[in-house]
Amino acid sequence: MSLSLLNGNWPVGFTYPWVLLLWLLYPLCLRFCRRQETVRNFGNLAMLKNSAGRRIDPVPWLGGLALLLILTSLAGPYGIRSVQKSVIQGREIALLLDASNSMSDEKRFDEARKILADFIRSRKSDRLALEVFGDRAALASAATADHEALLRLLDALRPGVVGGRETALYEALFRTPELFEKEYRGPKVAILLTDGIDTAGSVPLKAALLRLHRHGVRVYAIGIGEDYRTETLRRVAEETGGRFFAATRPKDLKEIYHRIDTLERSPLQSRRQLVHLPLQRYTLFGAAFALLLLLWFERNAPKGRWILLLSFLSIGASLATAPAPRGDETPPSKAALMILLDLSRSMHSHDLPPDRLHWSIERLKRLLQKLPSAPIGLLGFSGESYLIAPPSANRETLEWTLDHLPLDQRLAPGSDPLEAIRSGIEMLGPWSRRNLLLISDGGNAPLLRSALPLLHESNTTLFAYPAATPRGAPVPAEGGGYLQDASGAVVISRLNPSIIELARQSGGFAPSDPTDVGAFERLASSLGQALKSAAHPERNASELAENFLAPWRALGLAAAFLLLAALFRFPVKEMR
Amino acid sequence: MRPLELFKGSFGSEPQPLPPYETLILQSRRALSPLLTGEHDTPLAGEGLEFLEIDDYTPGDDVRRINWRASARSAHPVVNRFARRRRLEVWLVYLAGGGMLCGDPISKHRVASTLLVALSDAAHRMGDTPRVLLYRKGAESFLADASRYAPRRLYEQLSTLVLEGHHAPIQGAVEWLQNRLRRRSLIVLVGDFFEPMDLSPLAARHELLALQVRTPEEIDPVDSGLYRDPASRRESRLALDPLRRQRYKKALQNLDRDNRVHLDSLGIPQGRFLTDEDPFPALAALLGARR
Repeated sequence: MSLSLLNGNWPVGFTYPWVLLLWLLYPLCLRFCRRQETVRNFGNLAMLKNSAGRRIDPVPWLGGLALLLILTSLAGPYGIRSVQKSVIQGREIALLLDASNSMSDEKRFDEARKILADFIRSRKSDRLALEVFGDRAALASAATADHEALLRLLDALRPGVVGGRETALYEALFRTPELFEKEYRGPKVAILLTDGIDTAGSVPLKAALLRLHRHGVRVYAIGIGEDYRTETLRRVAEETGGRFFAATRPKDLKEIYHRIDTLERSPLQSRRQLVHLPLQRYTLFGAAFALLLLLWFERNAPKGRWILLLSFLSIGASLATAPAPRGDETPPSKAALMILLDLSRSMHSHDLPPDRLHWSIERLKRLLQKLPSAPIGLLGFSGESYLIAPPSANRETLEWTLDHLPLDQRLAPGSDPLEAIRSGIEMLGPWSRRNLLLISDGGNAPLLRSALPLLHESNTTLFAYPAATPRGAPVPAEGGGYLQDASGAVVISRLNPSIIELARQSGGFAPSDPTDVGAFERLASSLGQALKSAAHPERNASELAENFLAPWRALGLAAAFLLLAALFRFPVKEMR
Repeated sequence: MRPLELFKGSFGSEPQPLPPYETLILQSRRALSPLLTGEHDTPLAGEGLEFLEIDDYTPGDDVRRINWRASARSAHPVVNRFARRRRLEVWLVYLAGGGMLCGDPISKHRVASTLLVALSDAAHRMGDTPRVLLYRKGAESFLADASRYAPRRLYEQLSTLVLEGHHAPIQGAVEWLQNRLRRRSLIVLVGDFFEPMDLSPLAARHELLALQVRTPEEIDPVDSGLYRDPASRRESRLALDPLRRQRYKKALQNLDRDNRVHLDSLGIPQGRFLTDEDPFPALAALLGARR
């Protein structure tokens, strides 16, 4: 049960409002409970009061205030702050960046990256997606409002990151509609930045244009240098309703981005978003202060020290068991997690239903639901590593990315977990507490000796979720049948136990058996602990309800102390 | 410790038990016997009508008793003296407000009860039949017992008298007596007199005696804390610093001075009884002075 007073423009709410009703006992107790304090009968009280001056007795008021604040704390108060959030309602823009080797000429790539970074920073209200293309087109980041993560990702990109010999320009255009969310209904804009012509030939231009047209994607094409085909880029731009810009010099890029920025100005469809901030600690401090004042006025009362001690124990118990409220002043998260997902051929083996990869993705989705809100990124690997989603607290983007993994893509052969670990550590550079989750069958390489020093040096904890069974299974070949070795024998891919050993020695956790439900829960719990300090400041009321101490537990504890204090305070009324 | 006691209703203050009747009577007779034996006139009797002598005027003598003719002859004021023979109706009036519950360990009620029982016993021994008014506003008790058990019955009445929640304004008692007293009487008023008084309507026809009962704390309160008026049952937390105490003492002194001046102007003898003192010597002194 949660009560929000926002409808009446009250900026507070309570997770357990019924606790506040207990305050009604206080006036009843004032009326009926006995007090231990000596009450002096005085026959001439009117004259004494006149001589003492008219003063309000602060004790019952302070007592009532202290009790009200304690009960308010137990009721789980949270402040409701309305913040202007325009990101979600802004546009979605896809950035298609040519990362072929030719972009390294004349530092084109660095210049493009720098200006792209400025562009990203200027589009605060938009969700931006990034696709890089070289030998093939690869999703670098799904549409995200986490621009900081996108900038980190951009910084990590190099020419040739997805193969630099070819330029899969049309394939990148063809895949562009996938960058936008299905639910997105606003104008779809793509900015293509290339210095070459399509040499990969994987997708015909006509097919790419048809698909762009069908999905209503407007493409702004920017040609850098002199090697590109002006007619092609102009055609792409004009047929999709966009524009073509020629940037013969790197400095032209800045002006072009500025013009696009002007052309595609987002209507600031800002939406009020309600942020819940726990207020428990503040009310408890208020209660402690009221009690302190009360005890100052009651300092001559018998057993005042006991009352003092017990009252503060009550406050202390509530404070100790209450979660720390996190507001905007909470320092940013120090812990982050990079998921290293094996996408190699052996992950298509069927020893886990329906195959290792889908099994892993399904488990990963379940795992994400159990983890606290913290920056989590996704890196795919086979013989090479591919950054799929940079670390971001935006869980929606990550889940969307998992649903749209390019599983049919041609990846580099082999499986190199060591390279993935190295890339993962590099991507987690800005965070002080780095955690990696390796989901893989382990490949064939002996990992322990080479990876452990790497993990220790970078102060990184490795968790592993083995995506294979010790018995193993044959690996389906691309053209049908199973992979065979040079002698014609079918290759059996088995779990490489070194990933489990490596995780354990790095201080992380790895279940021995992927099908063990209990071990999976322990993995989720261990990861949760590792990311615990990274809880996101913005939480909704239901999350608060889960994280708030259930009031009956704290209430029981606090009430026990307060009852003891009350018994000292109220047992006998002494009349004189 | 019984937690359920927490929710018991508030309780009223009961009068502290009086000393056993026999003890009280014994102490009373020991203190007052010298006044009641031998050839003395009764200390409770009023002034008679039989002329006794002419005496020099002394301050405090009733100006109505001045013998003007003799004064003119002797060139200094003289007054007529009369024999104290006439028996007056005796009224013991107890202003039994809640305030009389004050006093620790001996309450004002206990002292007042001691005085009333002692006076009742003394009157009976001298052959009088004192009437007793236990005055509480709206709940007056009137006792007129001529039997020799009257002091004991008064003692029993006082032992069970409920004072808590009752007011006993002195002017209310004056009005009550004015409406009912037809014969000239001697009225003994017992109370704490924490209010301005005007006894002139009674003093015009009757003889009066004022016995004021107080606790030392009421004269000089020392402690801060929770105070309670038993008459109204109201509580107040008071912080008494020296300045406030001084202010209270000054106000009380002014009230007492005004009352004393008023009583003196009416020729009403008055005595003060503190709860931490033995009341009999002061009572004997007051009655002895009146003879």
